[in-house]
Amino acid sequence: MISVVVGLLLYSVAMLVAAPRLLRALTDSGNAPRLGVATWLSAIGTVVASWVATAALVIIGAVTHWTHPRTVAASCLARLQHTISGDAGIVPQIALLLIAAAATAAAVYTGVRLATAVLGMRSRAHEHARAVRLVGHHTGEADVVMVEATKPAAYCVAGRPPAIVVTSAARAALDDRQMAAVLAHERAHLAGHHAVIVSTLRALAAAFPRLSLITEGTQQVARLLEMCADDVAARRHSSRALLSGLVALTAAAPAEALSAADLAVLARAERLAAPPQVSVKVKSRAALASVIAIMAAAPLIAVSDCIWRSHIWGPGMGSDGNPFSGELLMASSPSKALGHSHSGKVMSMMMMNHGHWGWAGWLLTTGTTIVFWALVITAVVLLARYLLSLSQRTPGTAHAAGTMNAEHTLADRYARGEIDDDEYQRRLRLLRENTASSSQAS
Amino acid sequence: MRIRGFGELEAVVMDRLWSRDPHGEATSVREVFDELAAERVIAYTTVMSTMDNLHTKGWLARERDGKAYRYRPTLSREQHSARLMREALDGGGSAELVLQHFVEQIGAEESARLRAVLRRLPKDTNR
Repeated sequence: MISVVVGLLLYSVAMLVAAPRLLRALTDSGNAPRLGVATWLSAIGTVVASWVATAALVIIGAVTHWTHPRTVAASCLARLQHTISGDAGIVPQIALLLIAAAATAAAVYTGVRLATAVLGMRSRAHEHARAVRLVGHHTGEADVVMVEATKPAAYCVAGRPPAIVVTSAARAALDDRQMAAVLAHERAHLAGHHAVIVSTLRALAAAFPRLSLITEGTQQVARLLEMCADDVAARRHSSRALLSGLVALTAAAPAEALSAADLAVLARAERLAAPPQVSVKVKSRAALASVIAIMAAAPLIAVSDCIWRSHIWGPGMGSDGNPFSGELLMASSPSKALGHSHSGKVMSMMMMNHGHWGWAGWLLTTGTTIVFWALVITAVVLLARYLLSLSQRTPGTAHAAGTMNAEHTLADRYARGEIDDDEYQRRLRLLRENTASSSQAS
Repeated sequence: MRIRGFGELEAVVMDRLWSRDPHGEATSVREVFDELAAERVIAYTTVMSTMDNLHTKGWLARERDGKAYRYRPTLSREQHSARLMREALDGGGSAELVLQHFVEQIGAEESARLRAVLRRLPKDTNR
């Protein structure tokens, strides 16, 4: 059981360290926003699930060993405690109890805190939706409410029923086509229950503010969800209507200070102006899908790997496949003096008496597990880098995309006979020279 | 207008009360009921419980008048709107209030770049 716990913890540590940068690099382009969201959610989800599983295993372990005091030593900490003090009786039991109690308390506390936060956000949103419906003017559409305000804004809020709020200033800034596209964007948020995803992630980020996987994931997912909604709206109406709506709403009241929102909005605009090509999308999807598959499989592999290893070392170990129980059963047996003797001697005696590897075996299994996982993670990082290089556009992404778009326009005009051969060639050459020089510069 | 659910009846009642002279006399349930009953089928008790509810939630203040109550809005529609829009747009309690904004406000320079992106878009695109 310990080996499973070790495997799960290794997985979550590896994810916390390696995943944020990797996933950001993979999802930054927004080539496949839906899968991007799925990737972040499965990264965060599997890490949280591995914590829950770890806590559950510790609690179960403590409870079963509590009822069978002879095998109490199966706990790692109890083992250490045991070696240090050379005292086998009540101390390991108390240590075990404390660990189990701490695990339970942490799990319950975190769970309650998360649930309270999510429910709190839900009721705040519902209250806002209700209040907006009371003060707002009803429009021709049942889900849309107009509220008097000098700031142009459009947003949706979850509720029963949910509401899409458009301020009077926004209504004035948008024409009918733009308005329809904006509403389609907001409806996509509501239909996809994006508020549930965002509030759950926000609650998690508030509970674990130091884990960049979660804090970064919260921001990235929010950004990708905007792109998902953009895609729906652009499909239903047009990229132009949506993009010009974006421009109309931001131009009407520019913010006083620069913020992180600026870049996110620009990235959305670039996507709408120059949608990624199909081949790029397919490669992005393949990259993300394989990362999701790896993340889903990794904890399972971690667990089975550990179980497998403990069976390799198994014969001398406890019958439950635990590297400690055999050894500690021995140590808690009458030969109490063992605890005081030199560790090397302990080991050799253990090997003589019980024919197993004891500490050396434990170190070896843990060591090989760590090495194994280091190799797996390296392989994943290399694979992801490779896939990333496939799915990314050329350096200076936005600029290059713009140039490609310009080339398309040029080709279209040439095809329609608006420009002759010479002009087409001349303009194309100029465009390409520009791209080359700016790529070198960047 | 057809009434869908309780929330919408609340909206209708508030609408009636806000459209009255704010400095005039407070309104009884009977008066609101009479107005509404002229347009739709509705029970007196429904109107009464709706207004009672609005009082509990702080939207209506009431004073006793004989056996019945008379109600008036605690805040004007404009005051409520201003409060809600502050909540939604100024990012005060934004961590707890989850809203999906269509677009955040951005700087003037970014706004110009955004317009440049729009100009690049072919006029006849339908993607």
